[in-house]
Amino acid sequence: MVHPALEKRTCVRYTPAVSAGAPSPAAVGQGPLAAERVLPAPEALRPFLPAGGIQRGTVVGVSGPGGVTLALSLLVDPLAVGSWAAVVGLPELGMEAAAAMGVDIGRIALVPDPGGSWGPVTALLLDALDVVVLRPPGRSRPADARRLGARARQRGSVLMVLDGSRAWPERPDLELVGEVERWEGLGTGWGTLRRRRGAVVISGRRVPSQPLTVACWLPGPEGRLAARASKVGSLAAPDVRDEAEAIAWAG
Amino acid sequence: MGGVTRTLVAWCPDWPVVSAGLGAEDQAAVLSAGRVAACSAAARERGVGLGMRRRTAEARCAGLVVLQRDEALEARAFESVARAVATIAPDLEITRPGLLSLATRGPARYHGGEEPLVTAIAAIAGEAAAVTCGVVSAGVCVGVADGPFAAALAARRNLVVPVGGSPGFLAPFPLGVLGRPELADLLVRLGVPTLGEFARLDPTKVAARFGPDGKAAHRLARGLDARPLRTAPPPAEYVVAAELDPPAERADIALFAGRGMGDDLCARLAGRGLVCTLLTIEAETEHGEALSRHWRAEVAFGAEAMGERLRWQLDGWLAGTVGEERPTAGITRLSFRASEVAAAGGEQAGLWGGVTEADRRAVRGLDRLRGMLGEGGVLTAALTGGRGPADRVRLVSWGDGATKEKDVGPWPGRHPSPAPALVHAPARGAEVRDRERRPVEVSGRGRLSGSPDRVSVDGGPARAVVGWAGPWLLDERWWDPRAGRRRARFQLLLEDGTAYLCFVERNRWFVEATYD
Repeated sequence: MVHPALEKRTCVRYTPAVSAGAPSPAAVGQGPLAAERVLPAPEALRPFLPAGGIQRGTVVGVSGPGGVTLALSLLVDPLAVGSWAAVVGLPELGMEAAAAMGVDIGRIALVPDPGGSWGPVTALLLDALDVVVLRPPGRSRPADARRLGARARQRGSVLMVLDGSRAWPERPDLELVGEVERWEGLGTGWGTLRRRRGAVVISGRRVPSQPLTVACWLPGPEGRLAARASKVGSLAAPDVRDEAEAIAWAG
Repeated sequence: MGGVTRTLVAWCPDWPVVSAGLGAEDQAAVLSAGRVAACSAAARERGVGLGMRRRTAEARCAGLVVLQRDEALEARAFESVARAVATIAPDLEITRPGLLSLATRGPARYHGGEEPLVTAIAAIAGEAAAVTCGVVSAGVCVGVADGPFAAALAARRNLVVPVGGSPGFLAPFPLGVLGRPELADLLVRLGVPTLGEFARLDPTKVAARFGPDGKAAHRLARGLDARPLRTAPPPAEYVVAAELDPPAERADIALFAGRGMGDDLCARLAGRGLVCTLLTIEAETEHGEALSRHWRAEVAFGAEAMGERLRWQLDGWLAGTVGEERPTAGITRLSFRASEVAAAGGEQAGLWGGVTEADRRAVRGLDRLRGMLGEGGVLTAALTGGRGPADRVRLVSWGDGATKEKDVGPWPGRHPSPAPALVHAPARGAEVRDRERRPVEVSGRGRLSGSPDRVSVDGGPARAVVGWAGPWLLDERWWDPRAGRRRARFQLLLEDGTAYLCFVERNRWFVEATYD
């Protein structure tokens, strides 16, 4: 396999898929090269993401309530097709929840307490693995953030920053913010927590200027992000855009 | 005892320290990845222990000499000890720098019994160690028993265990000496605390319950070899060789020529579902000298481990620390021979079988990171049985293997799914009050004194509860007064949307997980 960083940069075209089904490679971009440059995303988000997934070599900010569930949901599909991931600086991560969502936890390395060396640790992991989920211990220095972003870009890996909007000085390429409405299933003295109505707001440097709100279950009954049929028009698939404009901000 | 080799083990205590030229009376510690990997007897007396951080060790023992670990130096220095022992017993095996073993049958007959052999080896190895490292007090402990496992334990006590006495000798040892923490942990919980009690279990039942690895451990506990012994020499296809032209005089050049051999041999063995447990490194020189050394694996050799042994061995042969015995000409041929093979366990397959380039890259990177952060710095998780979110996951240090998912059957009484995304270990203390501001209590029969209305976590501000469910009662290990616990579990949903998984134990509330 040619390393993604060595490949010629291909222009990945954003084609909003009309149905929520799995996009064919042709729909995502141009042939298998483009597919290799994109990690698959949860079905609920796929139609709304540029390139239909998480582009390699980018920084993804994940924040808001439900951020951990969202981040774990994003790991399900890439790990199922053979990618590796690491989670840095999140000692309380519930691996049982991860496994219940369908994450292949044998392909996750945990660095619960990197201490002061989280920068070099993350850099090393970006070299070796496909996705690194990082929760920085505090607000990071712009120089560190730029260095790690450059490392991800160079190695074709994805840096996922938890609490991205607060802890990361740079604007991420893709920003996913969880919004939650309410839990369902729990009463007063009866029931159990089943699922939570919520939404994911998609924005970022590499997405259209208008933040996009996608209604979903966060989490659904299986513990992961799940599609929720929306009644409101603004939550439906985005309009098909002018192709030139789409190319301008993709890839 | 049929099928067990009478084995002698020579063990140099604190070899990382001794090989650096420091004796038992020097207060010294050797660090690896920021933690103490070995220390001298004097430092141990002052309270320095393995796995300690540098600062802690220095605080315990003022004036502690701290060295960085240099495995190549350890191996190089140990090669001269091995060379000295080889003058008495040529067919020795090195398990790691500082520990070697040999079959006593031939040499003992030559020396007129095991006791004289032990004396001779202790003397010659002790002298070689003292001369090489320049440490007068460099001691060597020697033990003899049936099988290498018992012999290694006997060496720690300088004992010769009589023939057939291994089971009795092993019986009082705790299970930890098997080097299988997971198995030991489980057996202790099942009420089997020592090797003797473990050995009394029925072998077929042990094999059925604990699989091949458990069977091997059981054989060890019974004073047998982990696996039936090496019999016929393995066929020629278990040998890989590299020709060196021009001959290599320097270790790094020879190492470069042999760099792919480990991968080659591992791939060849993996094709037959085998792993190498005893590796023979052989070298021939231009003048026809043949050098050879056996390396014993603690479990099995991977390609990286083979490369490391080759580097150490070449360093030992070609660096010539003591000046004698260095080959007179350059090396013309290097070979790896798998002198002993075993069926590959299922665990290897997950990590190495069906590997892609991405897997290799990931494994290499994580190995490096583990080297950087030390034991316990990088973890992997495996699911296990249990009723709480913290019980249901077992974290193991990266590279310790055994992350194979067990079949986690249904656990009646486990917390309801979906599982919480954030698990607090240890659980956070909380205070839950009802509408009249009285603490909510749960009776032994699961009756609530009132419905939860406000909760404050870790002494924080009180927040309103808008939904709750429970109690789900849990009475675990009631047969054991120390480990038993009774808990009542709840889900609490707060006004601000936060959802907690809580439990009450002895009328105190704890938040054990958060639904993020």
